[in-house]
Amino acid sequence: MRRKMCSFVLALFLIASSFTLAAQAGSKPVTLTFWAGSAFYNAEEAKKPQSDWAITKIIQDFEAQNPGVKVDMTPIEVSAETIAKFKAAAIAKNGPDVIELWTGSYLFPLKDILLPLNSYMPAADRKDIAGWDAVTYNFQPNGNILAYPIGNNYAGLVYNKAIVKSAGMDWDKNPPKTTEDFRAALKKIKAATGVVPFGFDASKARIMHYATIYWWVEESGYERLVADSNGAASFTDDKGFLNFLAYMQSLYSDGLTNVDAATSVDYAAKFSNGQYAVTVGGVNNAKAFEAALGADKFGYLPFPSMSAKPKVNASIIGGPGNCLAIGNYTKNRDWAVKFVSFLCSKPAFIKLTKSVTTFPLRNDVTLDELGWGGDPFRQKIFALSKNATFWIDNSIPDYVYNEMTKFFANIVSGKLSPQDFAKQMDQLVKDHQ
Amino acid sequence: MTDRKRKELFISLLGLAPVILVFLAFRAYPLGDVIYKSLTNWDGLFRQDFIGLKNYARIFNKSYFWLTLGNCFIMFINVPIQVLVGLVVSTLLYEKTPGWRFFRSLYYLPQIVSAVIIGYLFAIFFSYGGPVNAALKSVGLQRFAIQWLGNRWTAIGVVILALVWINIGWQGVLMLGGMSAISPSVLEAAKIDGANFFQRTFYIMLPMIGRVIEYSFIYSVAWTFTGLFPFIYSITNGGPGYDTTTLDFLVYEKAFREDSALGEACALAVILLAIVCLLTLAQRKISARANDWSE
Amino acid sequence: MKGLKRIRPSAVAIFLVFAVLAATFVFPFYYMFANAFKSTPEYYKNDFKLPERLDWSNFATMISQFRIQVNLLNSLFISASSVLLTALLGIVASCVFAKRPFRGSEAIYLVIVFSMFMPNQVTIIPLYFLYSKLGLINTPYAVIICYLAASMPSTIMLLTAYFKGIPDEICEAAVLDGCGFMGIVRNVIYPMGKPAIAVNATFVFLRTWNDFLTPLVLLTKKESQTVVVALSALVSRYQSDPPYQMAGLTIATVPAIVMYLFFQRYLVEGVNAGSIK
Repeated sequence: MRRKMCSFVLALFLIASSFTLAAQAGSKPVTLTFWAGSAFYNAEEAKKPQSDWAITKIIQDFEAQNPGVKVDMTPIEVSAETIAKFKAAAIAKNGPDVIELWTGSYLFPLKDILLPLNSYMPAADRKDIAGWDAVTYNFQPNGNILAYPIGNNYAGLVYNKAIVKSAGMDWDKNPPKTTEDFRAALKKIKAATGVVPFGFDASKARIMHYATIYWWVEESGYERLVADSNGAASFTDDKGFLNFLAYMQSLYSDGLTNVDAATSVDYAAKFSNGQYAVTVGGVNNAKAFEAALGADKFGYLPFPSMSAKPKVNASIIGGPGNCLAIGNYTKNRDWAVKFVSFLCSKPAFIKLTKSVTTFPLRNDVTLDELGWGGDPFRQKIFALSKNATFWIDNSIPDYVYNEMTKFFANIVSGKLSPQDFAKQMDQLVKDHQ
Repeated sequence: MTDRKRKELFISLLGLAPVILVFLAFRAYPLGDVIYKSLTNWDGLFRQDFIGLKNYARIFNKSYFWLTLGNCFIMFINVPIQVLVGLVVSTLLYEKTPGWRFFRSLYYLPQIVSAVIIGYLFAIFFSYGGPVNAALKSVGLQRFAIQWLGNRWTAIGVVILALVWINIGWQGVLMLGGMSAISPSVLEAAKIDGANFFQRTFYIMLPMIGRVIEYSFIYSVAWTFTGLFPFIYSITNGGPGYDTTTLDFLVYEKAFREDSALGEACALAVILLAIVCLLTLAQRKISARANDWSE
Repeated sequence: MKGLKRIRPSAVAIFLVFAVLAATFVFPFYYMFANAFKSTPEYYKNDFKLPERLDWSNFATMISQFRIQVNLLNSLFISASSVLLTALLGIVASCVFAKRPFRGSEAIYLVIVFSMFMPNQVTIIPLYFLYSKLGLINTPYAVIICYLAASMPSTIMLLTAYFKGIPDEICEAAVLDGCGFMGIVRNVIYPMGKPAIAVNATFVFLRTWNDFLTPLVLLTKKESQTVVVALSALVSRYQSDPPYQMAGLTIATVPAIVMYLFFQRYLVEGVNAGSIK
C-alpha cells in the first residue's frame, strides 16, 4: 500500500516535471513583452487558439515590418490583483514593456512607473484617435499622457420592447425625456403588464452604478465630483449626489424595482427571460440580451434627464475605459512606442475592433469600414456613443467609488438616507487626508 | 550532556534545519517586511516614508474596523458547530452506518469546487425569490421568507451556514484520520457494554482524538480570521455596507482596491496576526488544562 | 421477520440526513457540469435546468484551443511537488517536535505555527521582490517554495499532534532494535502516521490546487500558469462566457477529485494494519 501511494505521487511528479522542463525556450534579439487584457480579445476569441486571435495576426504584421523585433504577448485579466503585480514587477524592473490598464483614476496613481508619451508619440495619433483626456494625468489639458486610449465600451438603460409596447408605449419614437416621465412610464408598465418595471441588482452588479450614477454627474459636473472626492467641496451639499440617490431610493419605495433590489444577483437572467422591462446593460452583455430576447425586442433607452440645468447631457455612459501604457523601466522605449502606435493605427484598429466588438475610437473609422453598416444594434449604440459621457468610476479616486458601491444597496432599499450617506462620505474623505 | 544526548540533539537540529531555513527565508523575511511597512505610508510603489504608528491609530479610529472585528468574533460560532458536526458525522462514518462509503466519497466535494461557484449558489439559494424562501412558503412559514442577505444578522447566518457546510468534509477527513488510530475493538467492547451513540461519541471518540480536535479548533479559528475572503467575496461581497466584512476581507480591500493604502493593509495584517496568535495561545492553555483533566 | 436483520428507525433517519446532505454536496458540481453544455443565452434563460442537448463543444474547445491540459499539468506539477516536499520535511520536523523535544523546541514550534496566520495578500509582494532577486519569477519553483513555506506550519501542527499520540514504547522498542532517528521515522512513525500524512496531503493538495493569488502574482506566461489563474483570464469587467468557464472549471476539478478518492482509502482502512502491529 505504501509503495502504491508513493509511486502514484511520484508518477504525477515525473510526468508533470518532464513536461515543464520541455517547455523551456531559447532567447531572442529584441523582445517586447506585452500583457494584453480584454481590449485585445473577447469571450469568442478566448475559444480559439491564441495563434488565431486578431491581435496575434496584428502582432505578426508588426514583426514582419520590423525584422529583429519580437512581441511576447500574455493574455491577462486587468484586475486589482494584476495591477498590484504590475507594480511589484515594475519596482523589480522585470515588468512588461507594454501593458493594458484601466484609464482615469485607476491609471494616474501608476504615473511613477509609466513612460510619459507626450514627446515620443507621433503627432498624427493625437489627432486621429479620440479619448486622450482619459489617459492624461489628472485630466489636465497639458498633463503627461500616460497611455494610448483603447477598449471603447458603453453602458446605459436597456429595455424589452415587447413589454413596453404592451403597456401602450413606443420608446423608439417617444422615449421618456425626464426622470419623472421615466417614473410615470415605469408605473404604467407595472399597471398594464404586472411585470417588474425596473430590474436592479444594487449589491453586486457594479454595472448598476457604473450606469445610473450618470444622474449625479448630469447635475453636478465632473469638477464637482472630483472636488467632493478630494475634500475641496462636500457631498452633504452636492445637490446632484443627493438627488440621484433619492431618486434611486424612490423608485424602490414606489415599488417600481424588484422587491429584492438590495440583494438579488440575477438581473441578467431575469431580463433575458422577459421578467424585467428595463434594466442596465453594457455593450457586451447587451449582445447576450439581444440573443436571448430577439433583436426586435431589445432596445437601448437614452438616459432620461433628471436635472433642469444639466452640466452634462448624455444618452449613455462609457468611452475608453482601457488603455495601453509603457513601463518607464523598459529597455526598448522606441520599439515599445512604435508598437503601441502600430496597434492603434487604422488598419490594426479596424481588425481589432471587429474582433473584440468594441467601438471605434479613431475619428477616421466608420461603421461601414468595420462591416457593421447593416447592423441596427451596433448602429444604435454607435449613434448613442456620439453623445456619451465618461465613466464616473474612472473619474474619482477608487476608495471613494468603493464606498459608494458598498452602500448603494442600503441606500436604494431605504436603510440609509442620502443625507446620512453624504455625511459618511465627507468623513471618509476627511479621514483619508 | 552525554555524547549520546549531544548526538541526538544534533540529529534533531539537522531534522529541523530545512524547515527552519524555509521558514526564515520565506515566512520570517516577508513577515518582518510587512511589520516594517506597516509603519510607513507605502503605496505599493516608491512612496515609503516612516510614519510611526499612524496607520494603527487610523485603523483603530475607524468605526468599520470595530464592526469588522465584531463580525470576525461572531463568525467564530462556525468553529464549534463545524467541529461538532464533523465529530458526529465522522463517528457515524467510522461505525459504517448504511451509505457511509457513498457519503464519504461526496462530502469533500465542496472543498474541491471553486469558491466562486459555491458563493454564487448560496447567494441564489438565499435570494428573495430563491429555493429556500420557496420552501418556507410552501410549508406556511411566509413570515420567515425574507431577504436573507439584506441585513447583518441573517447575512452572517447564511455565511456561517456556508462555512459549516463547506467544512463538513474537511472536518470529516481530519477526524476520520484521527479515529483510524483507534483500535476497532475498543468501540466493539463499548457497544457490547451497551454504550449508546452519544456516549460512544463523547466518552470514547472525543478523548481519543483530543489532539486532532485541538488541531481542528486552532486551525479553524485561524482560518476564520484569515481564510474567509473567497467565500465572503462571493456570497455577500462584505455587504450590506460593512456588515459581513471580515478582517481578512478588509486586508484584501486595503491592499488591492485602494491604490495608496498598502501601508495600512500591512498594519491591518499585523493586527490580525496578533489577534490570532493570542487566541491560539489561549486555546493551547485551555486544551493543556483539558488534557490534564482527562489524564 | 426471523432471519432478516432488523432495520432500526434511527438508521433510516441518519441515512436520510446523509442523503439530503449528499445531494447538497453534489449540487454545485451538477450546476457546473450542466451549464458547461449550454450556450450563453441558454445559460441566461435558466441556469438550473439540464442542458437541452449534450453539446461537448465547450469541453472540446477548452482542450483543443485553450489548451487547458497544459495548465492542468502545471497545476499538477506544482501541487504534487508541494505535497511531496511538505510531507518530507514535515514528517521529519514533526518527529523531532513530537518524539525528540529539546530545550527551545517548543518555542521554535510555536513561532513556526504562528507564521501560519499571516494573510498572504500582504506577504506576496515582499516575496515577489525576493524571488525576483533569486531569479525565480515565472518558474513553478517560486510557487512551490511559497506553498511549502505556507503549508509547513499547519502540516507540522497536524503531524506533531498526531505523532504525539503514537506510544513512546514503540519508539523505544525500535531504538533497542538498533534504529537511529531516521530508522524510527521510517519504521515506526511513517507507517503508523499514514492516516495523518494522507489527510495532510489531501489538504495541501487542494489548498494549493485552488489557490489563486500566489500563482497569479508569480507566474506570468499563459503556458506556465496554473489552471485556476489561466481560467481567470476568461473573465473581464465587460464580458464573459459563463458556460465556457464552467467547462474549464469542471475539467479543473477532475484531478482534485481523483486525488481525493485516491487518498481517502488511507483514511480508515489503510491504517488498522499499522495500529495493530
